[in-house]
Amino acid sequence: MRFIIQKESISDVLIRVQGLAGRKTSLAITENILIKTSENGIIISATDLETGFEGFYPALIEDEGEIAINARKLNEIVKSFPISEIHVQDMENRWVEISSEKVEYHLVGADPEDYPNIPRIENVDYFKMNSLSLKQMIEQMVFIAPRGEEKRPHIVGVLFERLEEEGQQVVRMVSTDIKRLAKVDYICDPESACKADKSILIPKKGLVEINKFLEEEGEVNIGVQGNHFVVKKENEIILVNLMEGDFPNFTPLLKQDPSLNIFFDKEFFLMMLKRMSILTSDNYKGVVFHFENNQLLMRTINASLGESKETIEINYGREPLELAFNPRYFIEAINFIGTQKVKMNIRDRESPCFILPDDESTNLHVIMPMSM
Amino acid sequence: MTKIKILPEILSNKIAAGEVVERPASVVKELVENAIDAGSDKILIEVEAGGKSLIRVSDNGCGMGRDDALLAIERYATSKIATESDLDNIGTLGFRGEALPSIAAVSRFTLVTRQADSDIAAKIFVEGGRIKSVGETGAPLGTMTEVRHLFFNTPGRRKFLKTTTTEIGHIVDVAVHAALARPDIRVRLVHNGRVARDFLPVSDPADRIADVFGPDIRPLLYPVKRPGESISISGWIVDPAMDNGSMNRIFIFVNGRHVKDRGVAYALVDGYAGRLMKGRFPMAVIYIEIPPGQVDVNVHPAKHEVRFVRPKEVHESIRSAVAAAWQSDPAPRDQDAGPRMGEDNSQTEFRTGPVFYGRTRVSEPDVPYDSGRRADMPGFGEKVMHRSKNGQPAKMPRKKPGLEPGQAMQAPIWERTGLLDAVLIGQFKNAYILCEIGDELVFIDQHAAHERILYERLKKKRDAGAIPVQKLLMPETVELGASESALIEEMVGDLATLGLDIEHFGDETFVIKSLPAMIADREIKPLLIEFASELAGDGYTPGLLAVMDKLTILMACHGAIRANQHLLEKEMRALISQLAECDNPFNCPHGRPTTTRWPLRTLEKAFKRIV
Ligand SMILES: Nc1ncnc2c1ncn2[C@@H]1O[C@H](COP(=O)(O)OP(=O)(O)OP(=O)(O)O)[C@@H](O)[C@H]1O
Ligand SMILES: [Mg+2]
Repeated sequence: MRFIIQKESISDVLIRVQGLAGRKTSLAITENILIKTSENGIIISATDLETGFEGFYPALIEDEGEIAINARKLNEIVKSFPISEIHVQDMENRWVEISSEKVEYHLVGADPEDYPNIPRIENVDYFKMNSLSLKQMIEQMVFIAPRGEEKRPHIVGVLFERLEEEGQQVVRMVSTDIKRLAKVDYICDPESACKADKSILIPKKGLVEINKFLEEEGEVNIGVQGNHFVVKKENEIILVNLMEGDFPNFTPLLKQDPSLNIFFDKEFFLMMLKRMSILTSDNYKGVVFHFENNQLLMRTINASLGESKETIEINYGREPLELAFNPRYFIEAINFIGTQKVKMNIRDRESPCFILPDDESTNLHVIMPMSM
Repeated sequence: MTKIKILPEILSNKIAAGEVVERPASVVKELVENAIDAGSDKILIEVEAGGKSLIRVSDNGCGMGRDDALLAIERYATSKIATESDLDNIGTLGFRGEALPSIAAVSRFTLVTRQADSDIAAKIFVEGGRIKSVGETGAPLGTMTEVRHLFFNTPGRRKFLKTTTTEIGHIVDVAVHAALARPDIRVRLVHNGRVARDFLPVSDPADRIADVFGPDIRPLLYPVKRPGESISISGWIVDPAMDNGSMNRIFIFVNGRHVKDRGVAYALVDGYAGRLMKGRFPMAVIYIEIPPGQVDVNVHPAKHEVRFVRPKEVHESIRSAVAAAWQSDPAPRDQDAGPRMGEDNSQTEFRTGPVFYGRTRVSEPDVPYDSGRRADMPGFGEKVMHRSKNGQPAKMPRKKPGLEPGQAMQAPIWERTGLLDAVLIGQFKNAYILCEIGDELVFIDQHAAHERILYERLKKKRDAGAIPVQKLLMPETVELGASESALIEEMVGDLATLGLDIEHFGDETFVIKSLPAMIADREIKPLLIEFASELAGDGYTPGLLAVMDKLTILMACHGAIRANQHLLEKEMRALISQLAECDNPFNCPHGRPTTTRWPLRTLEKAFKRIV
């Protein structure tokens, strides 16, 4: 095998596959990427056995063949390569030579025969989504990350739904750690070919990888085929193995009474929460919210550190209400609100609190209170 | 009319049948129990060759008339119960009418017994279950039962007898159990003509404990007292420094009967509340008095076990009785200090050896039985085990038990002094804080110490009802195994007060609605399962406090600073002074020591400045 490729054609993809190749799997060979020649270019594959990637990059093919090569080392070599034109060829005993006129590397390759197959997906019913919207959706899902050894499917995975609502095609994603929840709806373009279909669970890890390949503009094709969630760009495709398991029925939890809305200035509220969380610690995560007489008094009491309080004027004319929250949950949720004002919907100490943007956008964050 | 009646067959069938006579010690046990039931206050046990050739138990109890004596060796003949309902109300040690006939069936058996109303004693000789002769003889009031050549007619079982040393070891155990059960009775054991144990009657059971284990145990005893309407707990627990890896040194007496009971043992461990390492057991003598109807003694052929009708109640009584015992001072120390312990058998000896009676000691035929002393000398029972090598009776140094020079030791729990006067030296390996306290170099395990501090703080918050609780948006369902769910179901109420709001959803399914905030990021299911299976394994249902404690420990461990964390001088000082404020500064909640001490003398010795 021998080909010549421009540094620029592969430097991006080599960075993006590091997450996949870097993850420990049961097969040592997944530290490598597979490079296969094709007509007028090469096909690069990477996998962590749960998420698989394949992309086509133009190159001048001088001799056909395939190699498996360490992803991290290849990335470092390409990144620091002094000139644009890179020569790659395989040699005896799976040695791979990467060179230019003056630079020469010999890398130990692995046996491409051993490289796990990225499944061939055919006849997928794709629909289109805006790449940036999908990216933002995913970001609002994966920040509620599973911890450590977590195995519960509804925490490890994100619910992905395709529905028809009020005559519109909607893609909905929901993420939770059972103490809070984020839900984002995406209204599909009528031309997008999105159809209502059964709900699936996509692992958050896989979504993180997909996110790396999403551009800030343009569209991508989305499909669900068999056991895979598929995202396809012009030259690149990513497949994520779906998870088995149920997602709890959350819809009854989302009922809100608009008369309970309270409005805040986003930036100010964020700063206030940050000030209050200075005195929280692992053992004292709570900040107390006291609503009374058009005022919100926030207070932190931490037996080992001290206490703090701050007030803010708000629209609150109901009975006084005192409840506590983990301020981190609030800060993380509010960060995703795109409007200058934040809408908060609070009923009582037993009910979830909703955080929404102050417009018609469709993202919703739900946080369960604490009791102190 | 005779006192002894033969039980109707239905009733006798209900009684746990089985192997009463397993080895010489079981014979001794049965005979001693009969003597106690007969109201004796003096029991003499004489054995030869570990009981293999002779066992003779003499008492000064009520004795039997000739007809009763003949009935006594009939199967299912007992004076102690008559009707089926008596079986639920057993107040005596015996109740089956099975012991004497079983013993007589496998030995050459002689019974000599005289009642107060007769001048002459009945004498019966039975060989292999057959009555060979019935006669009369002169004898003191009471009963003498002699068992020769045990298993002479069952060679198979005779073969299974162990060495004399092993068998006498078991017999010593029986004597000790009887002695602890009834401090008011004199129990004397003679082996091959030598007095092995002689426990004189005492009015304070602590004296009996000291007689059994040696006077050094006294300063380490904490009295347990919990009188109750139905259940009363009393006894002594021993300082945790005397812990060991098995339950062998936990002596449990239920209505005067020595039993083994894991549930009670674990309740006891719980009462030590973090003063013991996981897997370690304390030494303790615990008396449980409970109405006979509340406990079934008829569950084990040798009566080694009992079943409580309401185990949870019993366990909680024990746990709280033991927990309360730490508030009291240890028993006053023996003031008449004898010569001090020699240098070379000081601390290690004290910890591991001579305080306790034990089979290993008994097994050295020349050592354990001192024929040179008169058996009725007070305190005779202890003497053998408490001699130091130079022949002086070993005494604890009076100063600080557990802190003898030459050994780094964890301080006994009542020693709370010092930490406040600690002079900080520095940190070692980012894990241990070094300081100087008086004449000692003290190491503090920073993780263990912080765990203890957090744990006590949490506990205070918890007791004040101030644990932050994270509510769950989506209640979590947990499926447990059958036995686990039964246990968890019982504890639903207790768990709720901890912020673990859990509801039984039917069958083995539970729904969790809130979690203590500190562990809200963890999956609760494995914790619950581990917790439930631990409880199931212990056969012990703890009360609310124990549940809270387990969870609190988990939470404290979660938040504590790790080993391998560099601490600033200020942080170390803060840690030490916070530790000093703890109720129990010397153990982390898991029971590991937080501090260890090196007396100056140890160093001086190491540098050969002193010898
Ligand atoms: N040392 C003794 N002094 C007076 N009576 C005795 C003595 N030993 C036995 N007896 C009488 O003989 C009876 C039979 O004794 P045995 O030990 O066989 O049965 P038990 O004690 O009633 O029940 P168990 O089989 O549970 O020990 C007793 O009920 C008691 O009346
Ligand atoms: Mg008996």
